[in-house]
Amino acid sequence: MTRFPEGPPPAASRPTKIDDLIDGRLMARLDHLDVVSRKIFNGRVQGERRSKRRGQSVEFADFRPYVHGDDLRFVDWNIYGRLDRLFLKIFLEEEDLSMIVVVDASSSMHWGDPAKFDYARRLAMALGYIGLVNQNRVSLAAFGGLDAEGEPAGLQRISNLRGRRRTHEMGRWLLDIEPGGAGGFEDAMRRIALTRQGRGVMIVLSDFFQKDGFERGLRYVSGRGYDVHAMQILAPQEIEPGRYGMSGDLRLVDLEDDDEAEVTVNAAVLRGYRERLDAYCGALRDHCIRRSIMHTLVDTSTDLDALLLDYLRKRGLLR
Amino acid sequence: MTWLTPLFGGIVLAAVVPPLLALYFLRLRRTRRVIPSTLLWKRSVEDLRANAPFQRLRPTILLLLQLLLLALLAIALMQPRFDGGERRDGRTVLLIDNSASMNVLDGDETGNQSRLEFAKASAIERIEALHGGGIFSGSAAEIMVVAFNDVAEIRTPFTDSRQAAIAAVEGIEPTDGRSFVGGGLQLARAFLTVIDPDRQTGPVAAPAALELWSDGRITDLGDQVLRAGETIDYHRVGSMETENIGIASIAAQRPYDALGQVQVFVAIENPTAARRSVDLQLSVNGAVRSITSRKVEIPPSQEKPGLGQVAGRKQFSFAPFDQERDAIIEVLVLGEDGQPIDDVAALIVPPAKRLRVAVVDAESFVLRSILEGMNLKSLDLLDLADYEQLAESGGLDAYDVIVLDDAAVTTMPPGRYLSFGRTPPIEGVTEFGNLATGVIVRRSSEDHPILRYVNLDELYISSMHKVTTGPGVTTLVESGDGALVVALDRGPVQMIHVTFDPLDSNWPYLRSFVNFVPNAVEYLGGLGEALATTGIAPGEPIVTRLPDQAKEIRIRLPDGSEESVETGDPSNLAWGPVRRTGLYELSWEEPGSSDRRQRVFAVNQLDATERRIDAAESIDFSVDVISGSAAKAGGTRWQDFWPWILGVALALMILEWWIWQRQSAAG
Repeated sequence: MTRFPEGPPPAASRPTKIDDLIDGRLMARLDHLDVVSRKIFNGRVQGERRSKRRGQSVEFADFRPYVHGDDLRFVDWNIYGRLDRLFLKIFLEEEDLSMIVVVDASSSMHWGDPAKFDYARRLAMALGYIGLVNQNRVSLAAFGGLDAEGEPAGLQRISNLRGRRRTHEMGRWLLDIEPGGAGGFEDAMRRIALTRQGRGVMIVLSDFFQKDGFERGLRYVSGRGYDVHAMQILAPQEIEPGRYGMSGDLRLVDLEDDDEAEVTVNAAVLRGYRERLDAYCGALRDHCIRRSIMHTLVDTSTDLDALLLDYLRKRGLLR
Repeated sequence: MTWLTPLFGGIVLAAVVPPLLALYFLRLRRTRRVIPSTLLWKRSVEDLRANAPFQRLRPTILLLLQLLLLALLAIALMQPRFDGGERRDGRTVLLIDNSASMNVLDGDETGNQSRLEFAKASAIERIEALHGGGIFSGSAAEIMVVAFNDVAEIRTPFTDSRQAAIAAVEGIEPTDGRSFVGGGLQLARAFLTVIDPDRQTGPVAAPAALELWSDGRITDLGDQVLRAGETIDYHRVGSMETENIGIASIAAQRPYDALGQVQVFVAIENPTAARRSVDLQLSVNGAVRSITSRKVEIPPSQEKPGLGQVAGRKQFSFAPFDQERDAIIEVLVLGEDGQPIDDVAALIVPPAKRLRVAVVDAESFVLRSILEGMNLKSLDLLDLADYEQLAESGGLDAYDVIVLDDAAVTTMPPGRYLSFGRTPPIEGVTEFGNLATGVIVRRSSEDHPILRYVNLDELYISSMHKVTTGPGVTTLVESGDGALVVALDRGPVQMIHVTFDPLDSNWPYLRSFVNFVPNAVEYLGGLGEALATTGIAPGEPIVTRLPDQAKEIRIRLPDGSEESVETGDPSNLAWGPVRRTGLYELSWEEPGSSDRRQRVFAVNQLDATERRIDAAESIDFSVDVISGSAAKAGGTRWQDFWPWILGVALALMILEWWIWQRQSAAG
């Protein structure tokens, strides 16, 4: 069993090439998966999704009486011949899926064994890859990271990737994210919501440890056409710190804001922490449910293959 | 309960509690750990520390236990003790009886501790209680320790040093002496008297608390009066049930018609309320000579009008036995009782010899006739001129006894004198006033050898010389106008003086006169040396005459130890006072002789008060009756309490450690 981490993982352990994020074997297994949206969304190009918008698709949906101004091209002249009344054919329009994966690159994610940020990057890579191979419009965003000068980079984005050939570009972008900033969740969610293009699936990968709260951030993106998945990523050392040797008189330093908390860790304190963690996760889950957001708690010790091929399929994100 | 070092404990408490609380206020030195977020920890942890150097004190069981532990340690350092009395400031005099009766082994219930040892232990505890302070204490009582037997001895004057007072008590040795508290009271009062030179008032006796450890059998209690402001606490030592019988007197004489034989007389007294029967054993020079063929019955004590409780008494005469040479006679009461030292009495019988007596200015036909009737070696009649001449030439040394029959002598060279009438020119007996007339006897010391078989009840004296007596002079017979018969024993000079001329009384017509004269002559002369030594009681010195050339003088004590006796005048040797009963063997060397010569002295405790050893419930001063309380020591001695507190503190420490382990190690 690994010991309680002393701090952020060393640079040597971080992924440096795309194979570190996703290997060929996983790619092969992901090729058969697709992202499922609980809704059918409009897309810019006709994709592989059925849209609720009836339109120019080949798949017939229904008829409705003609009204002035309708496109005469969709009048069913056969019915007009038989019934002498004008009806319009309504088709289900096939749309491409807009998929955006948001990765929390704040300092709090850069911790744990395995590190939460690295796990999130690998998961984002896998989900993005699934989107690309299924001809979905894939966008990735990261918040809380640092730029090349080590300054907060704000919201970083790569947008509108489509097709398997963009896999390398997506992986390179993920590898270039430098974690280490503080917070920015609410601002990132607000900016993503404001710059929304069409509808789609949004997957947020974060630990949701936001001292200013996660509620407002999630509220920005919920109910605006996004099928939002909140995947809360926690390290096992966060879930059960006592098992990993956390004890004694400690001065706990917050990775993001250097806030300190002096704690004498004993059984009672650990018990209290676990209750607080459960309560926090429960509050996040309740908040998500109220806003039709799918909440999934992910332990970084969970095998990524099992998560993608089994767990997320059961949760309905993948099929 | 008292605190031996209260200030010290308080200082320690004040020194350690604030740091402990500060430790709880101050942040701990903690290991730095980086975590993703303190969000949840801050919400869940009880003892979070703010960034401020101090935090709000949170009541925890550990802090409570630690404070309790420190308090207990501080209390232990204060040395709490339970005692039997309250602390008392001011001056306190501890009077400790170390007379013979205090040697009885009934101090504690086991019977292994003497009354004196018990009294000392009790007094030491009392000192600690009175003192009530250790090295850090403020005020303390001033304590004076006085031990008393025949004489009183200041063991320590008033001191505020606890150690000094305890050492003074511990140094009190047992004696076989009698018990006189008067001297102790006088000493205490002398030290309590405050004389302020700045004030013109007279000396003021500061009130003092007296505390007495005794069995209450004190001879001179009736002569003492408590003064204004004086209080006395009587700590009774010993059992009120212990019984004892003892030898009241012992005497030996060579029968008039058989000087080669010795007859021993002994009187046994029984101060208890029950009739007792004992066997008596007679030893001569250490060898048992005889044991009574049947038990000697001793009647119980009886209440007699005017006299109070009078001990039952039985006199017993051993059959005469042949003993030409000198001998050490020892009589032993067989059987065990509370006080062994009065169950044995010894005396020294000199070798048989016939006396040479001179009578000076023999006016009394009766006196001369009595002397002529004695089996003397010689009887010379001297007039005053002959006497003065012989005194000047040293010729009086040829006589064993010189009888002064109302003779107006001017000098008294060393010798033994029986004097009648005129007051002899010797220090210690001083005539005053006019002649007393119409005198009768008020008291006589019937135990003295010269008064054996001498009944003076019918004696009437028409005129007598009134005298005062000085040190070394014992009044044997007393009248309302002063001494009638006195005994002076001053080493080279030994004298029995009768303060009236027998012809001025009806004494010549009484049988007691016929007994008195031979008794006195034999006492002073032929048997005098031996009988004089038998008269030594504990507390008195051994006084004897040795040859002028005596050197290397040593004395062997009853316990077998030997001491060297330093004196510049062997002819007037005094050693003592003797403390214990038994045989004292004085030995010396003379020039030209390699053999050491010896003389044995027997010291007997025959005092009636000391014979009564049941502890008195109260002591009766002439005015006040002081009820006693059993002295506290031994089984009821007050205990140090701090070891128990330390034990509780240790248990608390273990409990605190266990709780800490449970809280921190688990999980």
